[in-house]
Amino acid sequence: MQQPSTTMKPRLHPLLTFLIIFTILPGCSQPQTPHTTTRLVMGTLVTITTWNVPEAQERQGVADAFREMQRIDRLMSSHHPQSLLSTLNRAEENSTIALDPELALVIRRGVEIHQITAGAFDPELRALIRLWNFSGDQPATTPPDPQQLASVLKTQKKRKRNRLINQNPPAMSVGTGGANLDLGAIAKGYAIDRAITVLQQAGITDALVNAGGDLRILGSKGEAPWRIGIQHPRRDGEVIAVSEIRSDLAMVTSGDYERAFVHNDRRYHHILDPETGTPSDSGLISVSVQAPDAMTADALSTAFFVLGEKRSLTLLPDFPDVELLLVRSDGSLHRTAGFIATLRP
Amino acid sequence: MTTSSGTLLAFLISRSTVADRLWIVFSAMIILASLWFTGSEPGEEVVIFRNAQRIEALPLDQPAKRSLPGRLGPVEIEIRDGAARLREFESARMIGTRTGWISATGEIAACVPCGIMIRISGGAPSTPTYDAVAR
Repeated sequence: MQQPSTTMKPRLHPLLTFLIIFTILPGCSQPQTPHTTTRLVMGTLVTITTWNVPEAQERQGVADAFREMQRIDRLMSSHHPQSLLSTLNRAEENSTIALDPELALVIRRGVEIHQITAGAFDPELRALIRLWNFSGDQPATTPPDPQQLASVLKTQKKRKRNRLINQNPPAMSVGTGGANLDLGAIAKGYAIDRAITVLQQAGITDALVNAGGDLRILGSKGEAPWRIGIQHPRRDGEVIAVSEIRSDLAMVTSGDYERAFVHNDRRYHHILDPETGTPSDSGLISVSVQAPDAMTADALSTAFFVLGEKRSLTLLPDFPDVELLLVRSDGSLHRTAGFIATLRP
Repeated sequence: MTTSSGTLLAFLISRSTVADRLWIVFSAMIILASLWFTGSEPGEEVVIFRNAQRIEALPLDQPAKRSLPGRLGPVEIEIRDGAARLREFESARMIGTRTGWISATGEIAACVPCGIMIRISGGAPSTPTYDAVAR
């Protein structure tokens, strides 16, 4: 006997609805995107990127971080005549002056790195830096007069250096000819570190502070790492390596391509060798440093650029948790074992 | 593949009621509507900053020219064909000019010594290849 044709069909719609919703809708949802804010600070473009932070918290934290960087700039800029550093540079030689604690901290770290790197990093190079004028609003397009350069270099080498004489409260005995301080190769790193601290105090756990290509990373982008390209020293818009980072790490690169001019078919770049008083010719064209803090990475990228490959690698054990990517003038690379990066062909 | 898809479709049709089919059409309409709303984008604009202060926002879809006094001299901002560019005249390195035309959300052109910056905003955020470039 045939079954009646009016048999109830099983209802499919709840199953179909769930299938459709769970297979299609996740693909339609708005992806989480980083929130980026860029401002002109410390004479460069500074970008702060955060990941997955409530809007009000993000806005307040990022504004505070920018304010902190501006505060450091007012303290340590050698361009602003009103900065505390400029005041220090106007102090009479052989005088003893009280130091702002933060300024003392950065100067002390600079002096430490100066000593360990046998002078390759020098925070007391102001006269020479001003003579070459790579960083002014209207940078030089010709090298300085050789006689003038020789005179400044001679004074530089013979002068009695500044001496930090007290910890609490900090003070400094000013060297011959004045303090001659220029913290341009370390203060930006310190400002980045301070910005990161301010973001952390605002409860932000995932962020990236990028000050003109010097940067420090905090956390990750959810499941994904922060992707950092490392500028190719000879090809604009290309990278030589990509670092995928998901932890607190600073990365600073010094290259001969950033500020330079060509005069009589010769290229002059901004990284000066304190020994010769001229642009460093160590056989390296780019040095990337990964370190726990940006202040150390900033100073070391300059120091290792000046030192060259062999001396840099000899000194590296003196700096725990510091890793290097060196680009030689022939374009070949040397990467230390712990440097986080995938090299590009 | 086509045969098995056809078999599956025939199976679903044979096992579904009119109510099931109405439910499927209703669900599809809901999904299409949500796709329409999430896919639409607000208009894009060029935001102009001088000395870190936002001073003006101009629509990217209307041609315009602005000349602003920068710290080193005049800086011109031009909008054309959905893109914008910044041209400085007194800056030694001319980095803003060399940036050329920008049009994607988040892109920036700036003359740092002039204190002038423009940024594209307002559209769906683009996905850059890198979060930053160390240089």
